[in-house]
Amino acid sequence: MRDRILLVEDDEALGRQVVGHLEGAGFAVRWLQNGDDALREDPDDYAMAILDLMLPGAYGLDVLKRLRRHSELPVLILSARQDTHDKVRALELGADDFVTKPFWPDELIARVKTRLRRPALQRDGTIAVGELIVDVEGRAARVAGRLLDLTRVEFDLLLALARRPGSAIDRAWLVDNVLDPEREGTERTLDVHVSRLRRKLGEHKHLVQTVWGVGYRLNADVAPSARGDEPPGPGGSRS
Amino acid sequence: MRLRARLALSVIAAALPLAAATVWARHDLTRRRVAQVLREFAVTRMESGGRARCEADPAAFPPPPPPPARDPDTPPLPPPLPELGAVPPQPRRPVATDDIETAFWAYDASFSSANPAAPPVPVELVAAVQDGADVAVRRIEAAGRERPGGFEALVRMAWTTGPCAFVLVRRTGRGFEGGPLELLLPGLLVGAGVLIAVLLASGPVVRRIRRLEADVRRSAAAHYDASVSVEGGDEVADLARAFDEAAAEVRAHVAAVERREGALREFVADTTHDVMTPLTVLAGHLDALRPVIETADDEARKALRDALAEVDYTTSLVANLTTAAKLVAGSRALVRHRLDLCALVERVVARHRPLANARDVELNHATPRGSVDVAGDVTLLEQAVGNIVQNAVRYNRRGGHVAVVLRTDAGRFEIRVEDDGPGLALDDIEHLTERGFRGSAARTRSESGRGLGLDITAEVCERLGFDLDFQPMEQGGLAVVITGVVA
Repeated sequence: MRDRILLVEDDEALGRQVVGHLEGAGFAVRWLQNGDDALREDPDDYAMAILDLMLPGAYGLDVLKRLRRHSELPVLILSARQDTHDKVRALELGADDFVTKPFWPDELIARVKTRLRRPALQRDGTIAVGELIVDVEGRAARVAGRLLDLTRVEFDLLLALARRPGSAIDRAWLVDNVLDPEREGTERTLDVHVSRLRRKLGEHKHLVQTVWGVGYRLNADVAPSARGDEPPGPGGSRS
Repeated sequence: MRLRARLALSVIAAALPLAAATVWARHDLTRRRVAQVLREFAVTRMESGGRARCEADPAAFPPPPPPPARDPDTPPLPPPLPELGAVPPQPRRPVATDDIETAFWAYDASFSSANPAAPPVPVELVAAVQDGADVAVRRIEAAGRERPGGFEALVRMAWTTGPCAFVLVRRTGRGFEGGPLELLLPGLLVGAGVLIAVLLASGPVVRRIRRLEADVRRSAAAHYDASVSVEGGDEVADLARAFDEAAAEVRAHVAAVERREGALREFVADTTHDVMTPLTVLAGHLDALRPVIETADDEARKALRDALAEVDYTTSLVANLTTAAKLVAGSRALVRHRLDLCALVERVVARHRPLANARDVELNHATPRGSVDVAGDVTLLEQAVGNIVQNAVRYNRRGGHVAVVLRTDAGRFEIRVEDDGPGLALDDIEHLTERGFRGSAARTRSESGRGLGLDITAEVCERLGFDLDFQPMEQGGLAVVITGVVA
């Protein structure tokens, strides 16, 4: 079932556009142009709300307060005023994020998807990313059912990436947190471990991606997805 | 000058001439009194037989006095003169009464005496009687303990001829020396007493003024919100009330200025809102044309690319102008609150990813798990980081890279934006960040539009207490680093 999004935006042209972008990205949208109407909606009917602040009828922050009273519904604020007070107040009242106008359609969709992104599937102490299953408790990893013969550092490296699939992990952080502290590892040492890990992943070595200027990332795009993620953009794989 | 010193000076300034006049008046009175006493003495002596004795034997006149009387009841004036001709001429001895001695000599109209013991008549006394005075008096200065000071007077007799037409009377002795200086001493004592009394009396007034001063300082420190508490009906209380009235006017003026400033900020915010919404719609329309770009001819493709770039430029221009307006407004417009740098970096990257995609630049980022909180103004800091990322993306080459990495270490954070584009020369960066965010910096494009808003980034970092550093990369490109303290 498609995620349903409540959009409250009074500007006719912008509202129509945003509805188009969201629907194009696979979401179902209910669009309201008045704050008072938004107060009557049941938050449980939605996966997320996108709220403009300057609305006719009830002010955007009042709608936010009403939504927060009984619900944990993620709320994204559309802020047109470059005013810090508005943003701080919105975050204090429980808004999850804000997007400042003017924004590109892709920017809004990315923010919505980030907010709705489900955490990596973790069950019974295991993390599953596509063909990869990491048994955290048993300190074992399988790819396509094949048990990988990993050293302690290789396993910790894979686990660190698997905990945040799709996110680039800072090379300096990996050196500090994964390598053996007694051996004074460097980034060069880290690269050697990654190289060995990739060799052991065999045909699935593309799971571990190098990210320019940052470090490494576990490619989440190969994960089984029910969300209908779009293919990567023209820039190739990105964080 | 302090109030007490000023009061003392005023008292001295007012009292000095008065004391001088009083001393002079007393001195003059004394001279007159002495002149009268000595004249009466001379006249009495001459009229009670002195004249006859003098004219009879001027060389022996006056006869020497008897030994000093031992009787304490002896009258202050000289004792009766001896009988005429009873004593031969000999040096004149003064007539003594206690410590006071009186002596006199007779002179003819040419001021010479037949008595060889008679002293010459002082010239100033001669001049005075020749001017027509009946009596002329002058002071005799004391010369040590042996010769006490006093007065001498030249008295004109009623008869103008003969060897005793003038009589010189000299009276000396302790207690009869009252010159101006002796008269000045009690005046000085009284003056000093008055001065001390004035200084003591000014104590309560000075204390009230000091209290008023403390109240005024406290009120000023509280932006004139506290009133001063000095009460009463005197001039100090009047001053306190006047200050309260002035403070009320200052408060009213400041409130009016703040209202105007608030209204202006509101106007700018509303205007920004009115511009931003249609700009978003325009960006959406242009974005919708992107799929068409592949099939369009070169001219149309270039036009669309330029239009997208202009929207991007206009967007950052409006945002930077709003930021510049905030920075110009000063600390009043700067909000310090707790903000999460992870979310901020995510937003900045999400904002610039469409531009990066359109330019075929790979935009990567990494943040620690959880949140990294700092104290700052989210709008300003997001604009500051956004300007760096935007420059890194916009002036990169096709297929280039930009990475935004947030790290924390030992209570400090680091936001590092690296690119592998041609970058800006360090000289250019220094030039861009040094020209200041005011003036034309936020409005005008630099040559080729490079470095837009970097001056604003530098100013924001300075205001928030963060460090901004530019480091050329070994493989080309540039790293821009913001560091600061974690909240």
